[in-house]
Amino acid sequence: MELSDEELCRRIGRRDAQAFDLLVERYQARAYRLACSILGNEDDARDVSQDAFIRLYESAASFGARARFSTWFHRILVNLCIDHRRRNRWWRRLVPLAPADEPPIDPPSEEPGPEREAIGRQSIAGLRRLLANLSPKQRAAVLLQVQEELSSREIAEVLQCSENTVRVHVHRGLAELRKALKREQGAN
Amino acid sequence: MITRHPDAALVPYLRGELSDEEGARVARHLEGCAACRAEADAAGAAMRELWRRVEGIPAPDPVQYRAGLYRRLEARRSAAQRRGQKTDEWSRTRIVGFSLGALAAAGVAALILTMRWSVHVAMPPLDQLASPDRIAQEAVMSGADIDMLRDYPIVEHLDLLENYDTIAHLDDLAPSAPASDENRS
Repeated sequence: MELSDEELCRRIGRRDAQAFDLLVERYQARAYRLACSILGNEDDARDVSQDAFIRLYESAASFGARARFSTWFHRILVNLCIDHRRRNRWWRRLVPLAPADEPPIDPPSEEPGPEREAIGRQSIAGLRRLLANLSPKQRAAVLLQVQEELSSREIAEVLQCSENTVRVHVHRGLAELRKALKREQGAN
Repeated sequence: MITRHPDAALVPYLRGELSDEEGARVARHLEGCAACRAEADAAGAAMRELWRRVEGIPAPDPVQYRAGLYRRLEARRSAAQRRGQKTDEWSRTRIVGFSLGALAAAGVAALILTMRWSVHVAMPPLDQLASPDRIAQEAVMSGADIDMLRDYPIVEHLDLLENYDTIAHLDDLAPSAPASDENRS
Protein backbone atom coordinates (compact mmCIF):
# COMPACT_ATOMS: atom_id res chain seq x y z
CA MET A 1 0.00 0.00 0.00
CA GLU A 2 1.28 3.45 -0.95
CA LEU A 3 1.90 5.75 1.98
CA SER A 4 0.17 9.13 1.95
CA ASP A 5 2.21 12.35 1.76
CA GLU A 6 1.08 13.20 5.28
CA GLU A 7 2.29 9.86 6.66
CA LEU A 8 5.64 10.26 4.89
CA CYS A 9 5.99 13.75 6.35
CA ARG A 10 5.32 12.42 9.85
CA ARG A 11 8.02 9.80 9.30
CA ILE A 12 10.44 12.48 8.13
CA GLY A 13 9.70 14.21 11.44
CA ARG A 14 11.10 11.07 13.09
CA ARG A 15 14.14 11.38 10.78
CA ASP A 16 13.20 8.57 8.40
CA ALA A 17 15.60 9.12 5.47
CA GLN A 18 13.71 6.71 3.20
CA ALA A 19 10.46 8.63 3.69
CA PHE A 20 12.26 11.86 2.80
CA ASP A 21 13.67 10.29 -0.36
CA LEU A 22 10.22 9.11 -1.38
CA LEU A 23 8.58 12.48 -0.80
CA VAL A 24 11.35 14.28 -2.71
CA GLU A 25 10.83 11.87 -5.59
CA ARG A 26 7.10 12.60 -5.61
CA TYR A 27 7.42 16.36 -5.50
CA GLN A 28 10.74 17.33 -7.06
CA ALA A 29 9.54 17.94 -10.65
CA ARG A 30 6.42 19.80 -9.54
CA ALA A 31 8.32 21.89 -7.03
CA TYR A 32 11.00 22.74 -9.59
CA ARG A 33 8.45 23.69 -12.28
CA LEU A 34 6.44 25.83 -9.90
CA ALA A 35 9.58 27.61 -8.70
CA CYS A 36 10.72 28.01 -12.29
CA SER A 37 7.37 29.55 -13.29
CA ILE A 38 7.44 32.02 -10.40
CA LEU A 39 11.15 32.87 -10.62
CA GLY A 40 11.71 32.53 -14.36
CA ASN A 41 15.20 31.13 -13.90
CA GLU A 42 16.39 27.51 -13.89
CA ASP A 43 19.26 27.85 -11.42
CA ASP A 44 17.20 29.86 -8.96
CA ALA A 45 14.34 27.39 -9.35
CA ARG A 46 16.62 24.46 -8.55
CA ASP A 47 18.15 26.18 -5.54
CA VAL A 48 14.87 27.48 -4.12
CA SER A 49 13.01 24.20 -4.63
CA GLN A 50 15.89 22.36 -2.91
CA ASP A 51 15.70 24.94 -0.12
CA ALA A 52 12.04 24.05 0.26
CA PHE A 53 12.92 20.37 0.68
CA ILE A 54 15.60 21.26 3.22
CA ARG A 55 13.03 23.28 5.17
CA LEU A 56 10.64 20.37 4.89
CA TYR A 57 13.27 18.02 6.33
CA GLU A 58 14.13 20.39 9.15
CA SER A 59 10.59 21.26 10.17
CA ALA A 60 8.67 18.07 9.37
CA ALA A 61 8.24 17.43 13.10
CA SER A 62 6.12 20.59 13.33
CA PHE A 63 3.81 19.48 10.49
CA GLY A 64 0.25 19.67 11.82
CA ALA A 65 -1.73 16.46 11.50
CA ARG A 66 -4.81 18.31 10.31
CA ALA A 67 -3.08 20.15 7.45
CA ARG A 68 -2.78 18.73 3.96
CA PHE A 69 0.83 18.06 3.11
CA SER A 70 0.67 19.67 -0.34
CA THR A 71 -0.78 22.91 1.10
CA TRP A 72 1.87 22.99 3.80
CA PHE A 73 4.73 22.26 1.40
CA HIS A 74 3.51 24.75 -1.21
CA ARG A 75 3.35 27.41 1.45
CA ILE A 76 7.03 26.81 2.20
CA LEU A 77 7.96 26.78 -1.49
CA VAL A 78 5.92 29.82 -2.56
CA ASN A 79 7.13 31.86 0.41
CA LEU A 80 10.72 30.99 -0.47
CA CYS A 81 10.13 31.99 -4.11
CA ILE A 82 8.54 35.31 -3.16
CA ASP A 83 11.30 35.91 -0.64
CA HIS A 84 13.94 35.07 -3.23
CA ARG A 85 12.49 37.55 -5.70
CA ARG A 86 12.40 40.20 -2.98
CA ARG A 87 16.01 39.53 -1.99
CA ASN A 88 17.26 39.53 -5.53
CA ARG A 89 16.02 42.86 -6.73
CA TRP A 90 18.64 44.43 -8.99
CA TRP A 91 19.76 46.99 -6.44
CA ARG A 92 20.29 44.32 -3.80
CA ARG A 93 22.63 42.41 -6.06
CA LEU A 94 25.09 45.27 -5.67
CA VAL A 95 25.62 44.43 -1.99
CA PRO A 96 26.77 40.94 -0.92
CA LEU A 97 24.08 39.37 1.27
CA ALA A 98 26.05 36.68 3.08
CA PRO A 99 29.13 37.40 5.21
CA ALA A 100 32.30 36.56 3.33
CA ASP A 101 33.61 34.18 6.01
CA GLU A 102 30.52 31.96 5.96
CA PRO A 103 31.13 28.63 4.16
CA PRO A 104 29.34 28.34 0.82
CA ILE A 105 26.38 26.00 1.26
CA ASP A 106 25.45 25.73 -2.42
CA PRO A 107 27.71 23.52 -4.48
CA PRO A 108 28.15 24.43 -8.16
CA SER A 109 25.07 23.54 -10.17
CA GLU A 110 24.93 20.29 -12.10
CA GLU A 111 25.41 20.87 -15.79
CA PRO A 112 22.69 19.39 -18.01
CA GLY A 113 23.36 18.42 -21.62
CA PRO A 114 23.50 21.31 -24.15
CA GLU A 115 20.38 20.25 -26.06
CA ARG A 116 18.30 19.82 -22.96
CA GLU A 117 19.62 23.08 -21.65
CA ALA A 118 18.61 24.92 -24.82
CA ILE A 119 15.05 23.55 -24.72
CA GLY A 120 14.75 24.40 -21.07
CA ARG A 121 16.05 27.90 -21.56
CA GLN A 122 13.65 28.52 -24.42
CA SER A 123 10.60 27.28 -22.51
CA ILE A 124 11.48 29.24 -19.44
CA ALA A 125 12.15 32.41 -21.40
CA GLY A 126 8.74 32.08 -23.07
CA LEU A 127 7.04 31.52 -19.76
CA ARG A 128 8.90 34.44 -18.21
CA ARG A 129 7.63 36.75 -20.98
CA LEU A 130 4.13 35.44 -20.49
CA LEU A 131 4.11 36.03 -16.75
CA ALA A 132 6.22 39.20 -16.75
CA ASN A 133 3.38 41.54 -15.82
CA LEU A 134 1.95 39.43 -13.03
CA SER A 135 2.86 40.24 -9.43
CA PRO A 136 4.52 37.38 -7.49
CA LYS A 137 1.28 36.67 -5.63
CA GLN A 138 -0.76 36.72 -8.84
CA ARG A 139 1.73 34.30 -10.39
CA ALA A 140 1.62 32.03 -7.38
CA ALA A 141 -2.20 32.09 -7.24
CA VAL A 142 -2.60 31.36 -10.96
CA LEU A 143 0.09 28.66 -11.02
CA LEU A 144 -1.17 26.91 -7.90
CA GLN A 145 -4.61 26.82 -9.46
CA VAL A 146 -3.50 25.78 -12.93
CA GLN A 147 -0.56 23.51 -12.23
CA GLU A 148 -1.23 22.18 -8.76
CA GLU A 149 -5.02 22.31 -9.07
CA LEU A 150 -5.38 23.71 -5.59
CA SER A 151 -8.76 25.18 -4.66
CA SER A 152 -9.13 28.88 -3.85
CA ARG A 153 -9.37 27.95 -0.17
CA GLU A 154 -6.11 26.00 -0.29
CA ILE A 155 -4.36 28.80 -2.19
CA ALA A 156 -5.64 31.22 0.46
CA GLU A 157 -3.95 29.02 3.07
CA VAL A 158 -0.71 28.97 1.08
CA LEU A 159 -0.66 32.72 0.48
CA GLN A 160 -2.14 33.46 3.90
CA CYS A 161 -4.86 35.73 2.61
CA SER A 162 -8.64 35.52 2.18
CA GLU A 163 -10.37 33.42 -0.44
CA ASN A 164 -11.76 36.56 -2.07
CA THR A 165 -8.24 37.97 -2.39
CA VAL A 166 -7.20 34.76 -4.13
CA ARG A 167 -10.10 35.07 -6.57
CA VAL A 168 -9.05 38.64 -7.37
CA HIS A 169 -5.39 37.56 -7.79
CA VAL A 170 -6.44 34.80 -10.16
CA HIS A 171 -8.82 37.03 -12.11
CA ARG A 172 -6.26 39.83 -12.57
CA GLY A 173 -3.45 37.39 -13.22
CA LEU A 174 -5.42 35.64 -15.95
CA ALA A 175 -6.34 39.01 -17.50
CA GLU A 176 -2.61 39.86 -17.72
CA LEU A 177 -1.84 36.41 -19.05
CA ARG A 178 -4.42 36.81 -21.81
CA LYS A 179 -2.97 40.17 -22.78
CA ALA A 180 0.49 38.60 -22.98
CA LEU A 181 -0.83 35.72 -25.11
CA LYS A 182 -2.48 38.23 -27.45
CA ARG A 183 0.77 40.20 -27.72
CA GLU A 184 2.61 36.99 -28.50
CA GLN A 185 0.12 36.02 -31.22
CA GLY A 186 0.36 39.53 -32.68
CA ALA A 187 4.15 39.30 -32.78
CA ASN A 188 4.01 35.93 -34.53
CA MET B 1 -30.25 38.34 -11.70
CA ILE B 2 -26.72 39.64 -11.17
CA THR B 3 -26.46 43.18 -12.40
CA ARG B 4 -22.65 43.31 -12.10
CA HIS B 5 -20.46 40.91 -14.07
CA PRO B 6 -19.18 38.19 -11.74
CA ASP B 7 -15.58 38.58 -12.99
CA ALA B 8 -13.68 37.13 -10.04
CA ALA B 9 -16.26 34.38 -9.52
CA LEU B 10 -16.00 33.01 -13.08
CA VAL B 11 -12.97 30.76 -12.54
CA PRO B 12 -14.26 29.43 -9.19
CA TYR B 13 -17.56 28.75 -10.98
CA LEU B 14 -15.80 26.82 -13.76
CA ARG B 15 -13.93 24.82 -11.11
CA GLY B 16 -17.13 24.11 -9.19
CA GLU B 17 -15.93 25.86 -6.04
CA LEU B 18 -18.93 28.12 -5.48
CA SER B 19 -21.80 27.40 -3.11
CA ASP B 20 -25.03 26.15 -4.71
CA GLU B 21 -26.65 29.55 -4.30
CA GLU B 22 -23.72 31.54 -5.70
CA GLY B 23 -23.16 28.99 -8.49
CA ALA B 24 -26.82 29.21 -9.54
CA ARG B 25 -26.59 33.01 -9.64
CA VAL B 26 -23.46 32.94 -11.84
CA ALA B 27 -25.09 30.33 -14.11
CA ARG B 28 -28.18 32.54 -14.52
CA HIS B 29 -25.94 35.51 -15.31
CA LEU B 30 -23.97 33.53 -17.89
CA GLU B 31 -27.18 32.49 -19.64
CA GLY B 32 -28.00 36.11 -20.30
CA CYS B 33 -24.50 37.62 -20.73
CA ALA B 34 -22.54 36.78 -23.87
CA ALA B 35 -19.58 38.92 -22.73
CA CYS B 36 -19.15 36.87 -19.55
CA ARG B 37 -19.47 33.60 -21.49
CA ALA B 38 -16.68 34.76 -23.78
CA GLU B 39 -14.67 35.85 -20.72
CA ALA B 40 -15.09 32.43 -19.11
CA ASP B 41 -14.03 30.66 -22.32
CA ALA B 42 -10.98 32.92 -22.69
CA ALA B 43 -9.97 32.39 -19.06
CA GLY B 44 -10.23 28.62 -19.53
CA ALA B 45 -8.13 28.77 -22.70
CA ALA B 46 -5.46 30.91 -21.01
CA MET B 47 -5.27 28.47 -18.12
CA ARG B 48 -4.89 25.49 -20.47
CA GLU B 49 -2.14 27.28 -22.38
CA LEU B 50 -0.31 28.14 -19.17
CA TRP B 51 -0.57 24.55 -17.96
CA ARG B 52 0.82 23.29 -21.30
CA ARG B 53 3.80 25.64 -21.06
CA VAL B 54 4.58 24.91 -17.43
CA GLU B 55 4.48 21.18 -18.13
CA GLY B 56 6.80 21.87 -21.05
CA ILE B 57 9.58 22.96 -18.72
CA PRO B 58 12.00 20.04 -18.65
CA ALA B 59 12.27 18.67 -15.13
CA PRO B 60 15.81 18.46 -13.79
CA ASP B 61 17.52 15.10 -13.83
CA PRO B 62 16.06 13.43 -10.72
CA VAL B 63 19.30 11.69 -9.69
CA GLN B 64 21.41 14.82 -10.02
CA TYR B 65 18.74 16.93 -8.38
CA ARG B 66 18.59 14.67 -5.35
CA ALA B 67 22.35 14.31 -5.17
CA GLY B 68 22.63 18.11 -5.06
CA LEU B 69 19.89 18.31 -2.45
CA TYR B 70 21.59 15.76 -0.18
CA ARG B 71 24.93 17.51 -0.54
CA ARG B 72 23.35 20.77 0.55
CA LEU B 73 21.53 19.08 3.41
CA GLU B 74 24.80 17.52 4.56
CA ALA B 75 26.62 20.85 4.28
CA ARG B 76 23.94 22.46 6.42
CA ARG B 77 24.18 19.70 9.01
CA SER B 78 27.95 20.09 9.23
CA ALA B 79 27.65 23.87 9.46
CA ALA B 80 25.04 23.48 12.22
CA GLN B 81 27.31 21.08 14.09
CA ARG B 82 30.21 23.52 13.83
CA ARG B 83 27.95 26.30 15.05
CA GLY B 84 26.74 24.00 17.84
CA GLN B 85 30.34 23.36 18.98
CA LYS B 86 31.07 27.07 18.95
CA THR B 87 27.85 27.71 20.82
CA ASP B 88 28.81 25.08 23.43
CA GLU B 89 32.17 26.73 24.09
CA TRP B 90 30.53 30.12 24.24
CA SER B 91 27.81 28.79 26.59
CA ARG B 92 30.42 27.27 28.94
CA THR B 93 32.29 30.59 29.15
CA ARG B 94 29.07 32.42 29.78
CA ILE B 95 27.88 29.97 32.45
CA VAL B 96 31.16 30.32 34.40
CA GLY B 97 31.01 34.12 34.05
CA PHE B 98 27.40 34.28 35.16
CA SER B 99 28.04 31.98 38.14
CA LEU B 100 30.95 34.11 39.37
CA GLY B 101 28.93 37.28 38.92
CA ALA B 102 25.94 35.82 40.75
CA LEU B 103 28.16 34.68 43.62
CA ALA B 104 29.70 38.13 43.98
CA ALA B 105 26.29 39.81 43.84
CA ALA B 106 24.92 37.42 46.49
CA GLY B 107 27.90 38.18 48.77
CA VAL B 108 27.40 41.95 48.49
CA ALA B 109 23.65 41.59 49.11
CA ALA B 110 24.26 39.46 52.21
CA LEU B 111 26.75 42.02 53.57
CA ILE B 112 24.29 44.90 53.09
CA LEU B 113 21.45 42.96 54.74
CA THR B 114 23.63 42.05 57.75
CA MET B 115 24.69 45.66 58.21
CA ARG B 116 21.12 46.96 58.00
CA TRP B 117 19.89 44.35 60.49
CA SER B 118 22.57 45.21 63.02
CA VAL B 119 21.64 48.91 62.75
CA HIS B 120 17.98 48.08 63.47
CA VAL B 121 18.47 45.84 66.50
CA ALA B 122 21.27 47.81 68.23
CA MET B 123 20.11 49.69 71.39
CA PRO B 124 20.65 53.43 71.25
CA PRO B 125 23.19 54.75 73.72
CA LEU B 126 21.82 56.08 77.03
CA ASP B 127 22.85 59.66 76.40
CA GLN B 128 20.73 59.61 73.23
CA LEU B 129 17.66 58.53 75.26
CA ALA B 130 17.72 61.80 77.20
CA SER B 131 18.89 64.04 74.43
CA PRO B 132 18.20 67.80 74.66
CA ASP B 133 15.73 67.45 71.77
CA ARG B 134 13.73 64.86 73.59
CA ILE B 135 13.55 67.02 76.78
CA ALA B 136 12.38 70.04 74.77
CA GLN B 137 9.65 67.94 73.17
CA GLU B 138 8.40 66.81 76.56
CA ALA B 139 8.37 70.37 77.83
CA VAL B 140 6.14 71.44 74.94
CA MET B 141 3.74 68.59 75.69
CA SER B 142 3.56 69.46 79.43
CA GLY B 143 2.98 73.07 78.50
CA ALA B 144 -0.05 72.03 76.48
CA ASP B 145 -1.35 70.16 79.53
CA ILE B 146 -0.83 73.22 81.72
CA ASP B 147 -2.69 75.36 79.19
CA MET B 148 -5.68 73.10 79.67
CA LEU B 149 -5.77 74.06 83.34
CA ARG B 150 -6.45 77.65 82.36
CA ASP B 151 -9.74 76.47 80.87
CA TYR B 152 -10.55 74.44 83.93
CA PRO B 153 -14.26 75.48 84.11
CA ILE B 154 -14.80 73.93 80.68
CA VAL B 155 -12.99 70.78 81.71
CA GLU B 156 -15.02 70.62 84.89
CA HIS B 157 -18.22 71.05 82.92
CA LEU B 158 -17.13 68.20 80.64
CA ASP B 159 -16.57 66.08 83.73
CA LEU B 160 -20.10 66.78 84.72
CA LEU B 161 -21.28 65.09 81.59
CA GLU B 162 -20.00 61.87 82.98
CA ASN B 163 -22.33 62.17 85.91
CA TYR B 164 -25.28 59.99 84.99
CA ASP B 165 -27.75 62.17 86.87
CA THR B 166 -26.60 65.16 84.91
CA ILE B 167 -26.87 63.26 81.68
CA ALA B 168 -30.38 62.16 82.56
CA HIS B 169 -31.40 65.79 83.22
CA LEU B 170 -29.51 67.48 80.41
CA ASP B 171 -32.71 69.19 79.28
CA ASP B 172 -33.13 70.74 82.74
CA LEU B 173 -29.78 72.50 82.60
CA ALA B 174 -30.36 76.20 82.20
CA PRO B 175 -28.79 77.26 78.91
CA SER B 176 -28.12 80.78 80.09
CA ALA B 177 -26.90 80.04 83.57
CA PRO B 178 -23.14 79.86 83.47
CA ALA B 179 -21.67 78.72 86.68
CA SER B 180 -19.84 81.48 88.53
CA ASP B 181 -16.25 81.04 89.45
CA GLU B 182 -17.13 81.62 93.07
CA ASN B 183 -19.56 78.72 93.18
CA ARG B 184 -17.03 76.37 91.65
CA SER B 185 -14.20 77.22 93.86
